[in-house]
Formats: sequence, C-alpha cells, structure tokens
Amino acid sequence: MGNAALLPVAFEVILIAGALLVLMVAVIADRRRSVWAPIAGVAYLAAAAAGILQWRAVAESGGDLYFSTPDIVIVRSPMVVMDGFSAFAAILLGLLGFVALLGSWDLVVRLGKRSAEFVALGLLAVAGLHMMAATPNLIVIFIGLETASISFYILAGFIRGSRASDESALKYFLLGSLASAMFLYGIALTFAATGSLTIYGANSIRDFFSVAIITEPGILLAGLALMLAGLFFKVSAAPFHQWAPDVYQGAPSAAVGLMAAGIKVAAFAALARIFIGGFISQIDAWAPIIGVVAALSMVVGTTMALVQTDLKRLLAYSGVAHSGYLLATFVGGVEGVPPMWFYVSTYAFMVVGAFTIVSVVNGPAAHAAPISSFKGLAKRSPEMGWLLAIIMFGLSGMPFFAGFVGKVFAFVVAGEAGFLWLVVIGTLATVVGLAFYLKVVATIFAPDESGEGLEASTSARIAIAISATVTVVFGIVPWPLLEVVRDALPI
Amino acid sequence: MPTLMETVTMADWFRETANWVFLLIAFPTVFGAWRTVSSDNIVRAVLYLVVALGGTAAMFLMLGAAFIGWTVVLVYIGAVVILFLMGIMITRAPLGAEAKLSHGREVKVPAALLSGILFAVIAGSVVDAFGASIIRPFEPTLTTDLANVLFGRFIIPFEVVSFVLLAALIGGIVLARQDDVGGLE
Repeated sequence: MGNAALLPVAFEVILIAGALLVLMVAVIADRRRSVWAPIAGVAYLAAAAAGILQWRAVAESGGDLYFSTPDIVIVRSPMVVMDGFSAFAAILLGLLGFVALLGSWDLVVRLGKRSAEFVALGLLAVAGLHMMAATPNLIVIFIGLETASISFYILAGFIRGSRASDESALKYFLLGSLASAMFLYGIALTFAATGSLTIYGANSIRDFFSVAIITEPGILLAGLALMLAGLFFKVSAAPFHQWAPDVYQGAPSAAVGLMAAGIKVAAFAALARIFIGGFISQIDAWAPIIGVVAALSMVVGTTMALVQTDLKRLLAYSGVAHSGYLLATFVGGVEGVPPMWFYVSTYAFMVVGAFTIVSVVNGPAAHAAPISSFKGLAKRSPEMGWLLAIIMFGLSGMPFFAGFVGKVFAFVVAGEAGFLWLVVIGTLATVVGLAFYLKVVATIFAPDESGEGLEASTSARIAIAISATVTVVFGIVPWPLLEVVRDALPI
Repeated sequence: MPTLMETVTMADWFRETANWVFLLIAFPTVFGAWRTVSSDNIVRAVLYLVVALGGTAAMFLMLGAAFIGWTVVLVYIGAVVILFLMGIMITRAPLGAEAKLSHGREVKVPAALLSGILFAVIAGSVVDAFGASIIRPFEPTLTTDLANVLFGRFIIPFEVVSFVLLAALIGGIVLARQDDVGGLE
C-alpha cells in the first residue's frame, strides 16, 4: 500500500482533474464556444470506468483499507476504503453525472460565459458525493458532504436575477449549513462517546463496540441522533423536508436532476456506511428512529404531493416519499443494503430523466413547471410524452417498472426485520401515491387544441432515453442488477 | 487524549484553582453571548461577540489546546469580527439604537425555547456521561503534534478541504459577477 495505491482514489482524482481542466481550458479558449465540453463528459465516463476497475479489483482480492501514511498499525487510521460498496457507488455516480450532464446541456449552452463554472461545480460535487461512500472516516464523510453541498447551493442559485431563485438558494444554504453543523456535532459527540472517528481499522468504532459495554449511552445516542438528523435533512426525509419543494422550484430545472438524485445516492450510502458498517451492534437503538422517520416521510410526501399543481414541487414531495421507502430498507441491517442500492440507483436515473423533461418542456432555466403546461404533451411530442409517462409509472411503483421491484424488495426486508406496520404504511402510501402520478399521466394524454410542436435537443433526448430505458429494463429483467448489488456490500 | 478521571464532591470542586479561573472566564462569556443577542445597537452586539469569542478562546487555552485558542483569536476575533464591522460600515446599516433590530414576541419565544432545548440536551448528556468526575488533560497539545497529524494521517481530508474552498471560491465569483447570461429569464 505504498504510493502505487492510486486506484482507490482514482474516481475523485479523475473528476477533480476534470474540473480543473475545464476551468483552465475555458480561460484559454473562447468562452462562448464550449470547446472544453467533451472534457467533462470524458471525465465522468473515465471515473465510472475507474469504478469498474475498482469493482474487478475487489472481486479478485476483496476489499481493503488505505492509509495516508505508512505509520505503525496502532496509530494509523484508514482514510479510504475500496470495497464492493464504494466501487458500486463509483460506477453509479459516474454514469449518473454523465446522464445529468447530457440532460443539463441545453442550460450549459445558454449560460454562455458562465457555463464552465457550472460544469466544473458539477464535477466537484460528484467527487464529493463519492467521497462520502468511499471512506471509513467520519470527518472525511463530512468533508465530502460539504464539497457536494456547497456546489449544490451555488447551482441552486446559479441563475441570478429572479427573487425566487435567490430566495431558494439562500434558504437551501442556511438550512443546509444547519444540517451540516448538526451532522458535524453528531460526529463530535460520537467521538466523545467511542473515542474513535473511523469505522474500520485499529481503534475503530467497531472495535470499541466489540469490547466495550456502554452503561451511560446518553452522549452516544445524542451523537447518533444528530448524525441521523443531518443526513435526514440532506435526503429530505420528513420532518426535515420543507426546503426541498422551494429549492427545486427556485433552481434551474436542468440543474435539479443532479442535485436531487446525487445527494440521495451519496447520503444513503453514507447512512449505510455509518450505521450498518459502524453501528450495526446498536441497531436496536437506531432502527426504530429510522422506521418512524420512514413512515412519516411516506405519509407526508404522498399526501403533500396529492395537492401539488407544479410538477417540480410534485417531484420534490414524491422525493420525500421515496426517501421513506429507501429508509425502510435500513431497518433490515446488512440485508437492506442490496435493496437500498437497487432502489436508489434506479430512482436516481428516473429523477434525472424527469427533471430533464421538465427542462425541455418549460425551458432549462425556468422556475415554474405547472402541470397544466404538460397538457397534451403526447400530442405535441409523442416521444417526450411517452418517456415522461414511463418515468411516472416507474416512480409510482407500477409492476413491470423498476420502481415496483425496488419497493417490493424494500418491503420484504422491512417485513423480515419485524417492521410489519412500516410495510402496511408503505403499501398504503404506494397505492395512494398512484393517484398523483396517474394524474400527471392523464394530463400528458389529455387532448389539447393549442398543441404546438416541441423540439428537444439531442443531448436531452439521449439523457431521457437512458433514464426511461433503466426504468423499463430493470423493471422487467431486474436480475442482472440484483446480482450486482448483492456484492455491493461494505466490508 | 490521555485523561485522568476521578470522582469529586462540590467542596473539592471549589478547592481547585482551575475551577475559579473557569468561572472567571465562563461568566463574562455567557454575559457577552447574552448581550450579543439582546443588544439593540448592532455595533455593540458585534463588540459583545468579541467578548464571547474571547472567552471561548481562553477556554481552549485552559484546556491546553493552544493552537485552537489562538486560531479563535486570529480568525474569529481578528478576521470575522472585522469583516462584520466593515460590512456594517460599508453597507450604511443603521448604526444607532434601532428598534427594528429587536424582534417581536412571535420570534423571540420560539428562539428562546429552541436555545433552551438545545442547552438542556447538551448539558443533560454531558452531565449524564461524565457526572461528577473530573477530567484533566495530562499536558497541552503541541502545535507541532497537530501539524504532524494534519499533514500525515489526515492529509487526505486536508487535500479535500481545498476543493471545498475551490467550490466556494467559484461560487463566490459566479454569484457576485454581473454579466448577461445570454438572454435567460
């Protein structure tokens, strides 16, 4: 494990190098022509390829920990971990970043002089997101979270000049900073209780629980609760969800896909790494909390989505409900990790696809996306109409779409863990949720007299087609992906 | 950090000189913090913040964390407070006593309630965990040791932090720059 161990950090190195290269080439080149454009796309794909190499290396020799310095075993603490879990996160985030870049390309082109910064921030954000999945150290998880969060705050307020956008970006920044502070404080209290910041390795949190008997768990429980609250905020689980609709509404539509999907992937990965990797012995303490928050998210997200008249706000509240279904996998401990990966990876592509369609229909920089503007979409553009319908079916959890498979496995895990009440609430929420997804589908196929044609750029069409393909293919033949996520476990 | 824990009574607590120093620092800190939020004059509020931060710095010095103590002095008292004052002066914010600075009851009560709950949770869990035991650091942490750890064991987070700053820097430039965005909006 000398200097040659570049593979474990290859994902971050490639994306950060890509971001710096984009910025530098944009300075040298004529900024109005996006000559640097391919760099970002190549960086995302190369990073995903690095993830595949990591996956193969892990499959051959098993996961391993990596250290900053060749210290003696007692004092050194691992900073990077390469296992099936982090490698799968790398592949997923690399591909997701690429699809989101394609989907936001209309916006990038129109941003003119500022487009390089937009793309570079996306690259930095995805690097930070993967950092959260690929480290056993709580401080590094926090720094990765901050790298991504700060980039997303800026992307949310990227289009200046409208009060709504400024307001939502500021709201996101202030509430997000509060959540980050809570997460950090939780880390501090956990450190106070266990004397360790690392999940694996010598003097780790795992070691602590294997030898120690905790008689006064107050500080530890406060620390766990604060860490949970911080991450619940980031995935917009109820009751920490109020920011999501306003932020999605105020941010440029083309940027929301990456913001909404990326942070969910990484925050759920971090939740699994911390709570299933490190605190699995305390599962009786945290599983009920997660179960209650999951149920609350399903109920609040579904009922609030019923009354929305704006597709962006509807998707935000549906995201709250989906956080609930995802959280339901966590009560199953390690058994819940593969269903969590299946659910979050298919959901992420659906979200990117949905927001790309929103940006095609209402303009990539628009804030409002009233559902009435989708009236007769199937007639104006049969392609867009059908693809949006497919994604809506996927999100609703209809059979033969990926959302259904994800939900079934999530409910099976929660049921086997003894959380039958959660399964009942989840099933009810899914049935009620059909109402608003089908309302959107009905609007798409409603007859519309004004029906003027709709032109979508090639990049946006590719992005939407990829996400719809993911929705359909993994809904009908989920076994290949299920086969893969079975090995995407933390060491 | 190596610590020495022993159980003490209230009388023992007052016999310890360090505890008198602690009280000497703690009361002005709490007073400064209280006046920061209760003062109607914005410049005075900032100056009371200096008192509160100074107390925090002294507390870190007491704990033997010299580097963090002086960082608080340099960064928070030195830079941040100066920025606040400069910001107030440049933006022509109201300098005198301003009634607008005070919020109404509908803001004050929930804020006080929330702070109270936070205090109760922190104080409760600290007392719950440590109770009447006294924790004494063996020796102050040397800045050299900190540097060795920061640039050795923690080099990866240290490197990643620079990209947090890069993202923030890009954001600051992008959001502050006034140029047309090619007819968007």
